[in-house]
Amino acid sequence: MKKKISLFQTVVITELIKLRRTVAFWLTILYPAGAVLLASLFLFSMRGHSNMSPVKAINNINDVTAFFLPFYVVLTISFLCQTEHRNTMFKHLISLPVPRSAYFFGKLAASFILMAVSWFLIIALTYASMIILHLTNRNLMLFPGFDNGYLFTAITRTFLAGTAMVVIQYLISLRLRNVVAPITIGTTLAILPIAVLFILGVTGLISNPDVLRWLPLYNPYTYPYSHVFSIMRGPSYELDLFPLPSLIYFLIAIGLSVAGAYEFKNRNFK
Amino acid sequence: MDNITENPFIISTENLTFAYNGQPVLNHLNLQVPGRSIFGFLGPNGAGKSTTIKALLGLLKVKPGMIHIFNKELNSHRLDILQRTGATIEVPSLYDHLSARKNVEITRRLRGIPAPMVDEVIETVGLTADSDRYVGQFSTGMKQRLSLALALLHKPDLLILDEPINGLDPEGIREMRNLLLRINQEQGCTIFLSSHILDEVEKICSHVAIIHLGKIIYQGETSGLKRKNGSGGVLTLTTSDNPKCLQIMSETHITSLLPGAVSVSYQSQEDIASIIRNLVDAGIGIYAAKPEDHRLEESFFELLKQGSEA
Repeated sequence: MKKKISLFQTVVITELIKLRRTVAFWLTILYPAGAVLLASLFLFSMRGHSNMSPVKAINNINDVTAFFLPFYVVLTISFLCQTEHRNTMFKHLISLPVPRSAYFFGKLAASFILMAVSWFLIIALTYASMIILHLTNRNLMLFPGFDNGYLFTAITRTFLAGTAMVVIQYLISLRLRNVVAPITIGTTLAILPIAVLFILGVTGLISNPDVLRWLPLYNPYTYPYSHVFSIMRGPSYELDLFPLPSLIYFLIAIGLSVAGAYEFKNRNFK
Repeated sequence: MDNITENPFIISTENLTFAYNGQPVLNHLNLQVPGRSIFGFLGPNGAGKSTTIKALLGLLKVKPGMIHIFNKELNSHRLDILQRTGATIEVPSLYDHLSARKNVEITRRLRGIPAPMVDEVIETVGLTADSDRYVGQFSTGMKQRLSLALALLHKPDLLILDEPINGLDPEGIREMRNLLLRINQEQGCTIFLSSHILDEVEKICSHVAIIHLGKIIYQGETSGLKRKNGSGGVLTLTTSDNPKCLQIMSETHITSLLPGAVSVSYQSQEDIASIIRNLVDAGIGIYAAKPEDHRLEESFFELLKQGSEA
């Protein structure tokens, strides 16, 4: 068991070495920086309004983070897997004395490590942004009274909501060699439900939007940002870190990971 | 290394069969690779060479009992076998966005080998000066050499190489040939290589197997394969009167007129002496006579022809 854990650690370390000079690495920096910057510019534009509060500021940052999370996940994981497909690296890796499952879970772990890094950067950059905004304009009323726990819970909840999406995108990217295919599938899954809702709303086909509330909720790619739009559940101060849908998606992610590892173990590398 | 001396066959397959989407690619393949040999695996495109190599490395799932390497069954001892095996498969598998050193470093970590081996193996394949360059900037030959470095990193007992000299220039081919011979002789490493370049196979391989339509149509010593096509060869003659030479020789031998020369087939060394004596007796001056034994290439194509007819 100790040997297996050590081997798994080695695979994860090699995955991190491979990240140098990759799109996945740069996206992990650009996504948090971009999301926080976008939200901060909006907050800065609200300096003349009196109804700004730390909770509203955090909600704004969390909403922007949540909306872009599926696109970040789709691109990052697709390009992460593409490093192996591009030069038929799996043939070389499988011919080494390392169990196939170690590669499967090692790369999946690397995907979650990237998520964790972007989560950390979002929290760190949010603090940096809040301090800068506070120093720039004290009318924003960001300090004192900034709720650290709320920031942590809101951002963490958003990322935990994406576990099933990460695993599904990983399985698709690991299976399809051409990087365009997993990106197209992932992006479509992330956009289509919300696009359908918008189109139906604009054309007036839905008189009561509540009837379609389930649509983004039951899609793992839109679930992380399902709280953002008014058609869905609005942001609330009382946040659960792990609401029931997240827990269900988490269990689905575990199930899919086990099934994916089994498929990878028995796959023919032609 | 103990198994190498105990068992004459490092690799043995028993009725190895594999099909892609119901289309058979390997058809009851019985391959036997002797220990410490350099074994050439020949065959036309689509014959099943790469599929065989992938099956030997566990990339393709085959039924248990079909493949034994180091006297161990592949499916149940895959990791033990791969611990002692180095391989390159088809095109060089390398991370373009990383340096040569980082590529070796990744394989080193996965194999659990001490760090100093990285420099040693890079030096062995002659890439020390380029070790910090990105692989994306490498020529095909350099990639081929780096790919070999990954296979040699742990001083394997068995080296499985798929088209190792593809993309190499003549100098690179000569270096690769010398390197493989050295590894075979100094480390006692068995080398199993597939190639389209028959001249090279002839130069370095002690044993060959020919695969055609998923079946082995010959396997054994390289010299044995050449003997299958007769012990004679072709004598290229430059004479004072080539048309007359052709006329005389065509009565008793298979001949053809070449630019400035005549080629005459012979059966034995005595036959060469007889051909020259006859021409001198006929008053023809012989400026040059170059005998050339039957080559692997001829035997190869003859066997393929027989295989297709069968």
